[in-house]
Amino acid sequence: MNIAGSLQLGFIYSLLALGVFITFRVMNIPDLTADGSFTLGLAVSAVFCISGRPFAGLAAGTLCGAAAGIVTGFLQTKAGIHPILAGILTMTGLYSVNLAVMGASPNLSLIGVPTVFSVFQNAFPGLERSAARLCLTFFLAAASAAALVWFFKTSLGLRLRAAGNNEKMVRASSINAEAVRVAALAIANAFVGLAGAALAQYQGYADINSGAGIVIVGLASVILGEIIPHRGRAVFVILCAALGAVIYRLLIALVLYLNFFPAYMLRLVSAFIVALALASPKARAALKGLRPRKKAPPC
Amino acid sequence: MLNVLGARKTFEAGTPAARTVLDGLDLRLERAEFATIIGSNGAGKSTLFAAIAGSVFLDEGRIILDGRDISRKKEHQRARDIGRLFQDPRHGTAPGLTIEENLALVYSKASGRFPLSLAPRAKDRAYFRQVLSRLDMGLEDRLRTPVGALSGGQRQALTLLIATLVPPKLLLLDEHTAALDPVTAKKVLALTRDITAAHGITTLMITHNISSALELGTRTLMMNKGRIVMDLGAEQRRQLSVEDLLERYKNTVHETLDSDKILLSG
Ligand SMILES: Nc1ncnc2c1ncn2[C@@H]1O[C@H](COP(=O)(O)OP(=O)(O)O)[C@@H](O)[C@H]1O
Ligand SMILES: [Mg+2]
Repeated sequence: MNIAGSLQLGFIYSLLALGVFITFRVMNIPDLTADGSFTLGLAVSAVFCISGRPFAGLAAGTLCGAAAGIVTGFLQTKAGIHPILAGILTMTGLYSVNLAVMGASPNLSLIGVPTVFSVFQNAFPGLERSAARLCLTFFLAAASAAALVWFFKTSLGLRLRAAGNNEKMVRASSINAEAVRVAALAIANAFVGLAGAALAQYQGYADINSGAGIVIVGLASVILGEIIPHRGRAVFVILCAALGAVIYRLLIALVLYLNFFPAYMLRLVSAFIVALALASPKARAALKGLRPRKKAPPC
Repeated sequence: MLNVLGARKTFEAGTPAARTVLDGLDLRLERAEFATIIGSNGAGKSTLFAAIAGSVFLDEGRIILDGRDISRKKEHQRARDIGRLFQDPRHGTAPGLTIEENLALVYSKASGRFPLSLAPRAKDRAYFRQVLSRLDMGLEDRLRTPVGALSGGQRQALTLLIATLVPPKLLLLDEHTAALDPVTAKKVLALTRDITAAHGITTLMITHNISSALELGTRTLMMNKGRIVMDLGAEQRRQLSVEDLLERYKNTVHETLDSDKILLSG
């Protein structure tokens, strides 16, 4: 069982979990944009790597993810389209965009191309390859979680949390709830885009289908993270969401190692976990080993 | 201060279920005036507030606030000048946020701070403690308590505080004490009187409590079928008992003031 590899992937996927956490848990918006914005981040990052600018690739992947979120946000607010349909529309449109970014090729290889991982490795030749990758992915995850913790303490972050909690109150406070919603979708998908961007460079290739079902992977991670007992403060809630992705990866590695089922069953199992968790608060309580709580506030 | 001109609103117009809820209503309120509104269920009182606050747009008519026509402004744009409280104490606060976060949400917006500045700031807390202590509910020592953990009365008092933290030009109170027990309701009403008087806030208060309708403020309006059918000034009110008022209602509207909810006394 490759624990180091699972940790590295877990740290990368924790960015995805943070994004999904913002929309599904903080804002209470079912946003399916992630399937598209994840691949967009991946594609953009790969193209930047190929042109020799891996760090710009991470930044561009993040920004493009945010742009995708803004599109979904406008579809939801200005066009008045149902949040689920708005996400599906963006995601569907992005499939073509992603292919265009990748030059009409369904996959790009980054073999022999500088990535942030190879650059980091070269900067610290003393570090073992796996240790270098662990450091870098951990740094990405920790920095992102810290950024989100800080953001939730700002005035805008407060508006996001309040909007998910009581949107009526936000409007009554002369805050533009629609703008808050667009901002939330932008920030959430920025994290998702960064996750994709990091993954492309980590695995050394970009595949047009990488994003399929990724929302469910993120949601499963967030739900797994919620099992961790913690004090209800915002910091811990965010850390748990991020850690959920690590747990998710470790669980998968364990299950594959024990040969419970073949790898292609993973998505089905993820869907099952999420369905189970959403189906009934009782099931969630059973997972947690607690009595059902009365609609716990997200943070 | 407030001028409502020929307000007309029909819900589900063009269908068999069409209801004209505001029927050419006119209303004029002077600066710092406090008027109470009574009327049967379905008279259109809440819809009038919704139209003033912008959560419902009028079919016809205009709403002028402080000389500006706000009829086409969106709800959040009007909210800068208009505070609104509902019967349900859960409406006006975010339960998952702490007391200080609820206050900071409004305070940081109203003081025009940069969206990425910390909220609340350390120095805000002292101010929050000071204003909370005016409620006399011990909330000043519970800044980090989630609002969801407060009682209905505490929550409504907090909502009132939040709505007036930066005094609005107009305060709309829609039966804001109806869901509270009598003792708490009395306390929140007293707070309402103090806060609106202290800042000279122009106020409209819908109530089912006829005696508070006559006691609070300086003017009592009666609504029926989307119009204001009676408008009693301070002089006229003084000579009127609760029974007189109900009698006058009956004579004006030709039916008795309905509803199980009517309270004759405080
Ligand atoms: N958003 C709405 N859509 C359709 N009908 C509404 C809406 N809001 C209020 N109404 C109807 O308008 C009428 C008046 O309601 P309301 O203004 O709440 O009366 P009041 O507050 O005086 O009891 C009621 O018949 C109600 O069903
Ligand atoms: Mg009403």
